[in-house]
Amino acid sequence: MTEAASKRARFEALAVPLMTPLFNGALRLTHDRRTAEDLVQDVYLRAYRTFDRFVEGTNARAWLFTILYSVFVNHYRRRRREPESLAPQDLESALARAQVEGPPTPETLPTHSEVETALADLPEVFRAAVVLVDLNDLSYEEAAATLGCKVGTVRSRLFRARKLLFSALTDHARKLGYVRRGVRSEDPT
Amino acid sequence: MSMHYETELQDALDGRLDAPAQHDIEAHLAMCSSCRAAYEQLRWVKAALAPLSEAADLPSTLPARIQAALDREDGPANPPVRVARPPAWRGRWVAAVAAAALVIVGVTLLVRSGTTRQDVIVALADDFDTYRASGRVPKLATDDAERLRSFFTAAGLGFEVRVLDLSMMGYRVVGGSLETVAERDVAVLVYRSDRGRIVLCAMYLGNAAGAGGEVHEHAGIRFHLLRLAGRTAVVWQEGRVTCALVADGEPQEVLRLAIAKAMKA
Repeated sequence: MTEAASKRARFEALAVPLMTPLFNGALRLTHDRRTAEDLVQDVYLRAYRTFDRFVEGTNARAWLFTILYSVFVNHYRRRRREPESLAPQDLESALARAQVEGPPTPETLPTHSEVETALADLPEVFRAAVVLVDLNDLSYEEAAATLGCKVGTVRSRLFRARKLLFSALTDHARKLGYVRRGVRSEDPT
Repeated sequence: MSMHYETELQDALDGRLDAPAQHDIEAHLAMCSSCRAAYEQLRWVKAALAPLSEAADLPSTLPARIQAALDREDGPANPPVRVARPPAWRGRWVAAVAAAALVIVGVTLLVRSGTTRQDVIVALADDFDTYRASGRVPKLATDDAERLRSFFTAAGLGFEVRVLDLSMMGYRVVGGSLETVAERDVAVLVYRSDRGRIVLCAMYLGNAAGAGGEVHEHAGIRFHLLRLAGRTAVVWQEGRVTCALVADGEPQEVLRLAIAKAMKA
């Protein structure tokens, strides 16, 4: 096998199995299937061109998501006028709502599409933290490297993102009448 | 409760605390209802997100499109192919598959001058070598039979691909590829055993009658057994679809495998 063919085989063995999570990640960043397809194709091309710099044995998923996020920020995000963060008063309001409510029961977990919608409504930097850590099992450190920020920032964004998701999902659940306020009654303390 | 303390609850949830700190948090949660409620909120959200990580939402044409892009990147020998991107999804699919087909057929024609039906089997034997020797990965790497069926259906083959279950023989499906060989679309399923042995199963619109080789008839089906330099191909017909198994086992063993699976069609 030639060196080029060997490189291609090694790259495909590493990167092809990750195409679905990369596409799902791209879709959650771009909100558009066609754009997500273009983005993922760009990621694979760029990854292939720089494959010699990938250190074997390190996390290929983190490496590809780093490329994905970089390409997204530099070439795709400009197409949208998306606020990177909630207005402070909106964020505090949502966090305050989450503060006083206990969780619904596990049986009242929201549907897949409800969670997707709530996730899509998050500010991009919060959504990215959730996509990397909760949906792709990246460590905080790997997510920080991917997003180009400090580990503490990932931690904080993730915390706020989860609070906002809780607030959004229970708002929806409350409208459907299956969320009650307050701490659960079986709490002995 | 301060925000700082709440993020420690999150650290506990995400398994980021060392054992003593984790123990301290758990002890506190047992005592403090408000912290427990905050912890439960975070855990509930994490549980709600979990199904999204398993979402399999890959457009069926994307693997071929990326494959074609990598082919173009690789090959000064391959003329650059511009993938048109018309607005309609269908148009994009046609363009992507056409681009991939151009590259693959181009390579095939460089290697072989003939495009007879038997060339499909010869090409499969070549594929078998690359899967066996180089650990080549199928374009869609999955052991999920339903995903593989969907992958081939979306490719517009014109027939339903049957994902054979070879687990009784110690082989499990590891993926599938859509190949264009001798101007035909060929669905190729790749199976591996725990010991790394390979079986390829191919299906395409054709006629097995011209495959040649030794003919063995069983339960009204004619099986063509071809010996190909250390590999064995068994070819048979199921309706409009020609099926083939390629393996490197004893020829009679491969024939028995084909008979067992064809009988269940």
